[in-house]
Parts: sequence; structure tokens; C-alpha cells
Amino acid sequence: MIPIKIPENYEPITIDLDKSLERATEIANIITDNIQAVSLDVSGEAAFQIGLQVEVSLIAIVDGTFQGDWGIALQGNALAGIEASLTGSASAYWPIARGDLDLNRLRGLEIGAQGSISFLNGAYFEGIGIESSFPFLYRDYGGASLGGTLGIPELGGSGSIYAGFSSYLYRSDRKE
Amino acid sequence: MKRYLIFLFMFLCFCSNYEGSKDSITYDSIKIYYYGASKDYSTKEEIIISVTDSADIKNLNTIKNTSELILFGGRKGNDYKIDLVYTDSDTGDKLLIRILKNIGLKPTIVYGAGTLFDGSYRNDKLVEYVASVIKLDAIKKYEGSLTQKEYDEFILNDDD
Repeated sequence: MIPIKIPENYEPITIDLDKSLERATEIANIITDNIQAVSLDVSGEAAFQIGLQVEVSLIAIVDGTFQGDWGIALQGNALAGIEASLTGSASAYWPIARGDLDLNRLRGLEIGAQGSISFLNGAYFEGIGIESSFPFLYRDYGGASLGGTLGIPELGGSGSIYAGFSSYLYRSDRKE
Repeated sequence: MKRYLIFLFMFLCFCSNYEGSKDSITYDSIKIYYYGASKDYSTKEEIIISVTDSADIKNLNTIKNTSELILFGGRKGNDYKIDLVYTDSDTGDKLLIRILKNIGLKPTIVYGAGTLFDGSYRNDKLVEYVASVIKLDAIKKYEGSLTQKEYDEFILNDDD
């Protein structure tokens, strides 16, 4: 029980649950409508202030022009934070720049932030592309992941920001 | 267990749908897949073009062998990407060549699907030739996102 002290001159607050639910559904629809790729990831990470992470992902394009393409990617990240764990997660990706996501776009430079509390792990990340004009980088895709982690129990939780690079060990890309 | 992992790794590295030699000049059928991502080259879907002219097939066989290896190249294709599938009907061999063009950068050529093991190349001659075959200038001039039907109707059959 948490005691809550209500001031005597409080103003009543009305919450329209229907409207809140409608708004939440709207946001969920915007996210799910834009998801064009998903992945299953396994990673190992170790960092004390700075560190490294290696991740293997099974990535599939699930919507858009290149639906059905899939690949196995290897990613190496440089970390800043505290991490000491093995993580399994599922990720979703959506385009930020123009055009449908394909496997070419879901590789290269990526930056993000990740954290875990107890066994639960979450991350947000963005893929970065190179272009010729200032600032010479553009935001290509966004992504989020959720999973489980096995780490050092004494840590309780961990977190880091990262920048990394990925490429494919295998790509399906059947054209006919 | 270790043996199975090594086998799986070798399988993934070498198993490809496109194992044809990149130096061979005996490919007798070429299909082009074009997708424009930027506003200038935008398509609604992947446009498929079959190369039927024997002179074009011959030239695309020889020009593809003049690529130069480069250390770094834009491989996202946020301007446009073109996949060329070369087929040798006698042997059944297929070769995939990708042209990936980032906005403001020169196109990068990749032989194969584009894994860690496939290097980046430059071949402006090949890009120019393919651009003329698929009428890339006309695609750029077209207003809106192009569909296969619109491409066949307005671009392919336009003799200007």
C-alpha cells in the first residue's frame, strides 16, 4: 500500500479511457503499419565504461517490395556503458528515409541505446547512411528490440550506448 | 558440435543461388531489376526488364569484366539499385551483379548478393550502358512513382 495524500483544494481530473485507448491504438497502428523487417538476435556484450558487443541476427523482410528476402547478419558494436551479458531478442525495423526497406539498407553503420533490468532487455537503434552533402550522414531506418538477458545477477541492470557495423554472412535474394 | 558449426558456416559462405563465373562471357540471357528509392528515380515497385537485343547481351558480357576493386563504396542504394541476373542457358549458371547508387555518390558494383565476402567495385562504363538500356534518363524525367505498367507503356515504348 502506498499512502497518497490528496490536497483539499484538488481539481477533479477526468480521464476519457475510450479516447486514450483510441490514441494508443492509433500509435500502435502507425508503428505496425511501418514495420517492414524483423529479426531474431543473439548477442554477447561486455563493457565497463567502454566495451564490445558481437551480435548474430536472422533478418527477414516482411513487408514492401522486397518481402520474402532474408539474411544472416554479423554485427560488431563499440559500447559505452556497463554490460556483461548474453542476450536473445526480437527486433522490428521501419524505414526513415524514402523507399522500402531491403537487405542493402539493413547493413552498415548503426547507432543505438540499450538497457536491461533483471532479465528484461530493450533497445532503440537507427541505421545511418552516407551521402555527399553536409552533414554527410542521414537517418536510414529505425528499429527497436525486446528480449531476455542472462548477465551477472549482482549488476541488477545494465545499459549502454553503441555504434557498430554489420554485414551479411548469407543473403537469400532470389530474383526469380 | 564444433564440426557442425564449421559446416554450417561454410554452407552459408559458399551456398548461393548465383555461382556463375564473373569472368565468363557466355551468358546468353540477362534480366534487369530496377528499383528507385529517391524522389528523382522513384518507383512504386521493382521494374523488370528483359534484355533481348543480342548486341546488348554481348556488350553487357564484356563490360562487366572491366570493374576495378575499391576499398569503400556506398552500398545502401538510397538513390536507386539495379540488379542484373546473367544466365547461361547451356550450363544453367547464373550470375548476379548489383549496382547500388547512393545519393551524390558514384555507383558501387557488387558481384553476388552483397555479403561480407563480396567486395565493392567501380565500373562507370557498365553503369552508363545499363542506364541506356533501361532508359534511366527517361525514368528520371517521369513525374511520380513509376509502376511496371507505366514503365512498359511510357518509358520502354518511347523512342525519343
